[in-house]
Amino acid sequence: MLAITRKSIPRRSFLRGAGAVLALPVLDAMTPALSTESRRPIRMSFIEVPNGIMMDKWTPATVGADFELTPILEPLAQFRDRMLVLSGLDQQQSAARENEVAGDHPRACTAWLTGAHAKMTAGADLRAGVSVDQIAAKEFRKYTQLASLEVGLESAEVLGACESAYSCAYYNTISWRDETTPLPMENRPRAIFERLFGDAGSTDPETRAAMRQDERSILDAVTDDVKRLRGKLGGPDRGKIDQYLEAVRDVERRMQLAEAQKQADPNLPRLGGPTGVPQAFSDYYKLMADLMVLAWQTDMTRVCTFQIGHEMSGRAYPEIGFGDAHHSVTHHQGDPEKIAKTIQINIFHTKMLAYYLDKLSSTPDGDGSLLDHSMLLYGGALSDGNLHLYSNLPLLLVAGGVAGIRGAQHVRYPGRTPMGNLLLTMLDKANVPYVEKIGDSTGRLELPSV
Amino acid sequence: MPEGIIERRRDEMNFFEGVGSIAVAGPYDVQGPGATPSRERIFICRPAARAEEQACAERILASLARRAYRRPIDANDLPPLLALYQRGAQGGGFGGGFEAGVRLALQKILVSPEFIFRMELDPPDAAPGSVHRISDVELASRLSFFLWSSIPDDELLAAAERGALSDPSVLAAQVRRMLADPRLQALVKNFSGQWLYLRNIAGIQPDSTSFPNFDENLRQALAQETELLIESTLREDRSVADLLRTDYIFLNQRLAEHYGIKGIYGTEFRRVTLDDPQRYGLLGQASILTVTSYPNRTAPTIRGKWVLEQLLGTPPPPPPPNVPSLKDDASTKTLTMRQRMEQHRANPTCAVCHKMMDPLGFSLENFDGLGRWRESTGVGTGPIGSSGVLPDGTTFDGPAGLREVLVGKRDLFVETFTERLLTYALGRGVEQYDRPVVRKIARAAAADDQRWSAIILGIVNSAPFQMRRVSNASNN
Repeated sequence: MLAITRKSIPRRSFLRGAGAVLALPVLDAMTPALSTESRRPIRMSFIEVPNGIMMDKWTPATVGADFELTPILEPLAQFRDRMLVLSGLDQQQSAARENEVAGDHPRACTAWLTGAHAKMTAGADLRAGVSVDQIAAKEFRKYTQLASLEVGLESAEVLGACESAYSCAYYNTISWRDETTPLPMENRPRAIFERLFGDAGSTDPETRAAMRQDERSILDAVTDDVKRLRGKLGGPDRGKIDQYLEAVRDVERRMQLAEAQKQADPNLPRLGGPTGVPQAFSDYYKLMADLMVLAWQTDMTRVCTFQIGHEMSGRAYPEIGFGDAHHSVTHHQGDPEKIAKTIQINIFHTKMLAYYLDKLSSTPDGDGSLLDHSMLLYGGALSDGNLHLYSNLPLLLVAGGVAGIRGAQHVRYPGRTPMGNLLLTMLDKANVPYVEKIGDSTGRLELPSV
Repeated sequence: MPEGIIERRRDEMNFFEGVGSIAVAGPYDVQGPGATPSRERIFICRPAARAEEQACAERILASLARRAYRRPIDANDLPPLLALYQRGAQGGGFGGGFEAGVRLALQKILVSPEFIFRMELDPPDAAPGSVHRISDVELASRLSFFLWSSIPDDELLAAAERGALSDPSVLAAQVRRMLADPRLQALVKNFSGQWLYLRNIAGIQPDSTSFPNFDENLRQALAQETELLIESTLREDRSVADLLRTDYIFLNQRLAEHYGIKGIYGTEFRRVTLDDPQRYGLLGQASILTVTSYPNRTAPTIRGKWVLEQLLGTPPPPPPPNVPSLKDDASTKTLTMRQRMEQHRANPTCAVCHKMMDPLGFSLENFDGLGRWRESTGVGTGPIGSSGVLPDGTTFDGPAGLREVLVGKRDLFVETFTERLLTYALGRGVEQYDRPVVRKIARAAAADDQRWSAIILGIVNSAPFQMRRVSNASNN
């Protein structure tokens, strides 16, 4: 028996574009609907690295504009003008409560974008809080076919118990639609491609219009089903059917937007979908970054949440010369060799980030590049991975020059400032209607302005 | 690169051994969709003339809806489907015609909430918090998703529609029929994937310096071997405790080379009786030994924890933060894994739990991070000491010794197994209030040699499997 599985074709061969897939909707076709919006929309990305970061090789020695780049930030040198290194922010909701055992990793990555405490449960009654990306998504979905894209490079399971009493949902995602609904991080490039651009099919406008009509009549029939069933169901089941209905409405909304975007832009690449998952981490990362750039380029979505590994990830990075598992080297206990390896992994990750940023900066958007109209938050949900600390988190905001934010800054906030304050400020800057609180936030964060 | 050819990447040395490239061509000159088994099952009639189309579509859609919704269809079900059929047949995105009409209606069935969700409706007048037996039709779905991971077949659904599943002898007969069906493969694959962590095989990334011989053929063989082993005990309806002590394994050439067993050629798996008792039972399976290792070395603690948790159902408490993992530097190069871990256990906070886990893991140290047999861990470290001791003081030696200990505790193993299988059957965590049920099923199965069928029937007949509690939450 010989089965071909998990075999990937090189990343470039699909981007080169052999396949015959639809050309993509143009942004400018939407301008009538967005005529009040004179500038390019602001996109948001949230990128989490697992297992903490070696803080003494991350945090610049001085604050202000003249800080020296540290070894972990060095790969990002060309983006210095856009960078704000933010020190002193905490996610105190990561802390264990009475009667809670272990679970430092999952509580931290759950709190990272929610400011909320993960309820200790193996899955029966998940509870955390809505995450910042989903607050933004709820606003931006008015303009884009997909509200948001959640991307991961590891297992996407959100079912079952992972460690002791904590559900895998708390490890494998950082995105929560509401306080009880974790969103899985999609780790299959092909599935992301299909979510963005559909499963091939015909490009003929008349056929596509007829198919949309078909879909509409199916949706109508299904909506009737839901109405009929909903009355017969009890509380929790009704919640599930409402989520289903939400998904149905989302499809409907996408169809309406697709109808509004009939014209195709001849300048956008024609694409074939990727197959499988590349073996090397760097290829995998780059492929996902390419897809996220594409999603913004085509304005399919304006929010990307990217978890490059789940908390406690034991991934090894043979590409950088050793085979140790990430999580185990972060528990270095002062061992210089393990510390050195952890730093190398941290640096490898910022090198990958540089690829993503570079791609964004070389993709035209309006009169500038995508990076000119993006806010990206990069960092960890733990600072010290050895001691499992969740104060003074490693946070890098790549947003200099966007929405009046001044870049090339290292800012140190007073201790115990909730990270939620930063998240709220980011929402303000992205023109999301006023949100009073996220998790345990206490106000807004002052960012250096131009 | 022409479409349809998968080219081997130059830098991928780990792809299928001995395969340079694979070319796939054709099919050429395709006319129409062809006759596939799934189409045969959808088109249960073929209209000979235009006038017959409507009646035939009705038959087809009624049959599909009944199977997909897993219940008898009622007067509300057909009209919306027929309306879609009409639309599709008269035009629409697929160009019209009989098949296009059926296609559109089928699309609706497949996105319908009644296909996607397993609906269990409470009786209209049931009090919140009260418990009731689910209907026979609902029971049929629970049963088929448990044993086949799929919808009930016609025979099961027909029995449920007749109300016959309430009769314990009919129910038992249906279970036995389903256990003999090829679809039972889904239980083997999905249950063992979750219980034994075999699903993780797909994602392992062994370090190529430590394990240069790892390749995709081995990755596939690892999981398949264990599935075949479990399937054999299930098909032969033996005691589940046999999983601890089977004296045979399933091998193909790649896996035999991995184990150092000669005389097995080709890609087909076959059953091979073992001479060496060290590899008997689940503990000798390379798949399990691999998913409980790090990418570059064994992890005795993880293995020990796995034995405690998955085989004996007694997980140790989780570790405190600030736990160092093992030193790996010049000063430790000449130490065996055991000596290095003994250093680590000098810390009293660590020692409490490691005392339980490590000795179990140490006894498996002769199996390396991919489950190959070895006599030492490297140059200068001397032979592996594989003696172990349990918290209660019982001593044993090597994998065979650990196996004997576990066989001695087989009632505990069977109880853990029952709990895991009940979790799988219910699709929810087993809670404290389910414990008496677990113990009852396991005890009852003991009278029947702890056979697979006894445990499965015990689960199917249990209250959690047949009953449902009306939600306490308000209905708004």
